[in-house]
Amino acid sequence: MISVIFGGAILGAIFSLIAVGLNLQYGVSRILNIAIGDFLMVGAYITYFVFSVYGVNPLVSLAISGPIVFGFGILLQLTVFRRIVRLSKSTEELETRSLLVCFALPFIIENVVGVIFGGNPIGASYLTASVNVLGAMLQENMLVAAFMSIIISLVMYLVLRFATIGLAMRAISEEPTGAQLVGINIFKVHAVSFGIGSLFAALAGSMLVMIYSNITPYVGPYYTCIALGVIIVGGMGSFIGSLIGGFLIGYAYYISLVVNPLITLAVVYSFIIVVLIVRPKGFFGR
Amino acid sequence: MLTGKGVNLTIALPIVLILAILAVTPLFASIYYLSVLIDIFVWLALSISWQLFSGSTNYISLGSAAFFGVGWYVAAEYLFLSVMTNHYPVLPLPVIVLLAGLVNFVLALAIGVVTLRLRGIYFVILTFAISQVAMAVISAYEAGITRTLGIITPIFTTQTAYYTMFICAFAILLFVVLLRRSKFGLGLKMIGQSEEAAAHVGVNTHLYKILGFAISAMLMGFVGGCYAITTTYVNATIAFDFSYSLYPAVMTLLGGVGTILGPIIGSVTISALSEYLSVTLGRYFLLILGLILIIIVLLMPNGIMGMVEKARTKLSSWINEDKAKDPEKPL
Repeated sequence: MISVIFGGAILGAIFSLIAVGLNLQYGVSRILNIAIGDFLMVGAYITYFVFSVYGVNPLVSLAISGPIVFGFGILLQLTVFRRIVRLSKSTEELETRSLLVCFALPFIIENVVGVIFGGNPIGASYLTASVNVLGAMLQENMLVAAFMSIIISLVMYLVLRFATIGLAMRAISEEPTGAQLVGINIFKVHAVSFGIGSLFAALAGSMLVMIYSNITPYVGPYYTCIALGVIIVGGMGSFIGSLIGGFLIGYAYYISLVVNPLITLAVVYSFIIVVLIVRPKGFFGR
Repeated sequence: MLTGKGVNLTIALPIVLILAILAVTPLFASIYYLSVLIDIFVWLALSISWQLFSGSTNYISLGSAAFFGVGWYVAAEYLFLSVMTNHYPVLPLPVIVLLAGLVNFVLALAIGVVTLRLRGIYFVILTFAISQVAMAVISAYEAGITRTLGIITPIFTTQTAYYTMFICAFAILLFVVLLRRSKFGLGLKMIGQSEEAAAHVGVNTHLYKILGFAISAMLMGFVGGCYAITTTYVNATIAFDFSYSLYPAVMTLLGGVGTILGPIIGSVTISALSEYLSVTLGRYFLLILGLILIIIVLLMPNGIMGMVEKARTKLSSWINEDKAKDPEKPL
């Protein structure tokens, strides 16, 4: 019982980190980044690379994988998505076109990583010892990853709440035209928020590769689906929603994993379908 | 063509010519080219079926794999039970294909009633989730209850497979062309342009959407049923593969939404291109395909047909401008 409580919470914390990033990208720039799982995978591979070649501590490698993928996200936004935003006349057009691009991105990212590293599963096992927490045996790396995820999400919350750039992001997600009128440079904010979303995915990937040793170039879509589930359940564009949704999906996932590993994804998807039918805007959507 | 005012020869002649060439192709083409053509027919039929609902109403569905897969599975299961094990009477192939389509029609009616209240990105995700649940349910059912992995189906000759897919694709094309001109097709198109306006002029939008969704799913079921004849084995991961959801949408959007030529051009170019790239580049051809997709979205945001349309208006306005300017030129 206690292991379910902790296991679900640990998964939940990591899932919400990915979902917060995805939600930020969608909320601010209306780009549903279906390739978010591949950004995660890239983060995981960077950590694996610096760990296995240079022996860099996986926790330290967060400071390497994060900025690289952040830069990559910004570059992508400036070169591709910015043009789409300019070309599109309505939000719907923008959503469809950016969705198309996001479907094409995994083809590119997965195959580039596949060419460089091959298709075998990799891992950078770190802190694998187990500790006893209130009677449940938990791996240290899971605890560290969950703790870090919560800290990062909290920092993001504070940024959104108090920093100028956070204020600009909230303004754009609530009133895009108005935000532009009061002098916010929306292209700059779009780029930064897209970068931050990619950054969070990369951090999550770097932490997942410490825990699991089954990361391949093709795991991206799997995590994308989970992140999508989280933001659907929590509500698109709602920060608190993705935090709580992350934990809900985390528990649904963990419990079904304990019951029967074959049905985990089916349970997650059924959960999404039920939420969409009963409450389309999610539990915390506007 | 088919406007009721007689047949336009400039359009009808090439169509008859293409059909005639495709009909006699098996007499001289190798098995490899026939199988490439079979694949092109599958994508063509799926894209046109997708266009019928999602293209005209702008409700982007990523659930095509669910209907294609169910059609494939129903036909494969029936073929297995009748031809391989004699549990059921052996029916003619068209009847089995019809059965696969009808199962889908009923299924899609039920799904449509619940899902078509959603719009935009929510509908996209919901249909995607449904196709994934369909895959998970069937694999869990096979793993847990029947203890099998997939279904083996009887082998048909490549010629039979070719003609089945050929007839399937062009029957669907003809059906969709006719349907688009009917009151129903126009209603769907209007929903895509403005749902509120459509409701105000008396289109029963809810009914139209559900019926459109179900008919489109039925057509995808036909394609899946026919595809069961061209293959010898199917399991849930193959039948419900995400590419069957993604490609029809991508092909139609790249070809140009809202026209009948769009999905045709899109599916033929992309499937021929990916076949060519996979032969020449091996397993990394998707890398190039992804790059091409992005470049097309950036350079031709309204698809190939949008580009053609733009060029045509530019050309005609340029010609008209010249004519209009001439009289004012004296200065």
